[in-house]
Amino acid sequence: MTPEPQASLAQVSRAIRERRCSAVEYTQACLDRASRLQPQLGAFATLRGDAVLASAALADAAIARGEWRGPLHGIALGIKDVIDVAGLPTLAQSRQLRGYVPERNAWAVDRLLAAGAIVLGKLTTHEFAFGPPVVGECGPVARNPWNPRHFAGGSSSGAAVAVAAGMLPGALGSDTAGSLRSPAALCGVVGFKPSRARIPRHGAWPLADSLDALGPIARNVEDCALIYQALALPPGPPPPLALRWPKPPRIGVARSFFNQGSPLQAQGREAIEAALAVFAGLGCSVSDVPLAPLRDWNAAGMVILLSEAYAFHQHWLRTRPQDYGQALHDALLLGATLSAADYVRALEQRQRLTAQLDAAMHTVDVLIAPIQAGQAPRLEQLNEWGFLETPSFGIAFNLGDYPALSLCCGFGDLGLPLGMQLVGRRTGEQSLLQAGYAYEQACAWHLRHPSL
Amino acid sequence: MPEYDEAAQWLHEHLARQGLGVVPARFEGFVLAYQHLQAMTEHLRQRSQIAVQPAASADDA
Repeated sequence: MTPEPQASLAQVSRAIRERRCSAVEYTQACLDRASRLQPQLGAFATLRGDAVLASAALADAAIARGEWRGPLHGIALGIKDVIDVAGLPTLAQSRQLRGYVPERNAWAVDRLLAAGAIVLGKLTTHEFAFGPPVVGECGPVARNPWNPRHFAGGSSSGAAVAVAAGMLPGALGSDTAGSLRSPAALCGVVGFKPSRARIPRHGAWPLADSLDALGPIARNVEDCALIYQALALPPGPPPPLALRWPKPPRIGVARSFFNQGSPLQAQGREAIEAALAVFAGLGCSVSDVPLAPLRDWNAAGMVILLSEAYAFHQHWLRTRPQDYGQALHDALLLGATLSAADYVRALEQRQRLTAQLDAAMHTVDVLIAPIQAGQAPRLEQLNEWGFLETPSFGIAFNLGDYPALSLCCGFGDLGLPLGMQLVGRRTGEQSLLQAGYAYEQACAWHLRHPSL
Repeated sequence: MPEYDEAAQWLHEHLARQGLGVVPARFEGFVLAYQHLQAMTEHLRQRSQIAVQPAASADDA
């Protein structure tokens, strides 16, 4: 019997392993649902056809021979369309890459395939994972499955939409300033940005090389952990297997991210305060942690992001400017206005802020901060320059390269999800996932799904 | 922070010098974004510990 569309990856995995459902049946169900919902939600840049069923049949045959490769065996996943999959176009939602079909998989894709996963397709993003969503010739705009008139977040937008809508149980995306965590929060699913060294980025198109990280989006913390486990490299403790914490962690609150010019709205604040009370009820100590205001993090983060993005795109900006969408073209040009001195000062500020964060993290195990101001805005409310005008809650932990997890912590008055982010200690992915798992079990927000 | 007209003029000239002569479509918004970014770089400059140290004497110079 085919699992429900919103069944967790872990549940589907058990069903396939125990042959209560075949990988072919499950993949077909994902394909059917994705095809039905794609016109409404725009999650896929490329949705593979029936050819993918041949991969699923191979997965079933291997299980029949007793060759089970692990929890991802026979599981259909999606890949953000800035990450190469051999034989499928990588368009990055840009005319610059028109006609590009990679011959090799990205490192992370190879890793997922080796674990038995099946790639169902490439998932919508924003052009080169930057800027606002744009309707155009290079792919659809992903729409929030809780209300398609609303933003799905970015830039791993298709990943969050496909997972929230039950098209797929999990996806691989990238995160430069919150691009896994923000769409996950706005769509009511879980986004996990591990430390950068955990998942090599070969074969993934960069946005800002010193900030970029790869990671999973899934419907719950356990599913994220299962995908992460297949991807992650040492150093540090082995990938997480045990999701129950040995003892309640010490929780810190990044209170300066709530105040001092923060765009956090009342409903978002209330949901996070309620989550802090849940952690306290689970036996955690909860205390405020002093951090610099968002403005400091964002100034350093944006100068680094724009400088590095410009460096990567400089040649094409000079020779093929017409092959960028207008919004990305103009955003990248801003990078040309920055000087070497600006970049060096941003790196210096990054070092100073990260040292402050390092010191703060000695006193707690997990830090809690907002990840979005509130519920998803309507698509027409988005501003081309919003990335400069509204501080990002996410970029601080790209600057510091801390593992960070976003998850649902309630719903707002429009019926749209509210999210928060949990930040772990360096190489502390396991205890971070444990904290997220404990919260999720206590609140069960992850069991709510959009009606589609 | 430079005034709008001054910023617009500088941007036209600077982008042309860089071989980036395609003017942003919504130029006014671009100039405002540039001014916003300038406020960030000014903020970083104020926070910077890298400061110009003038030579104390002709010998030091």
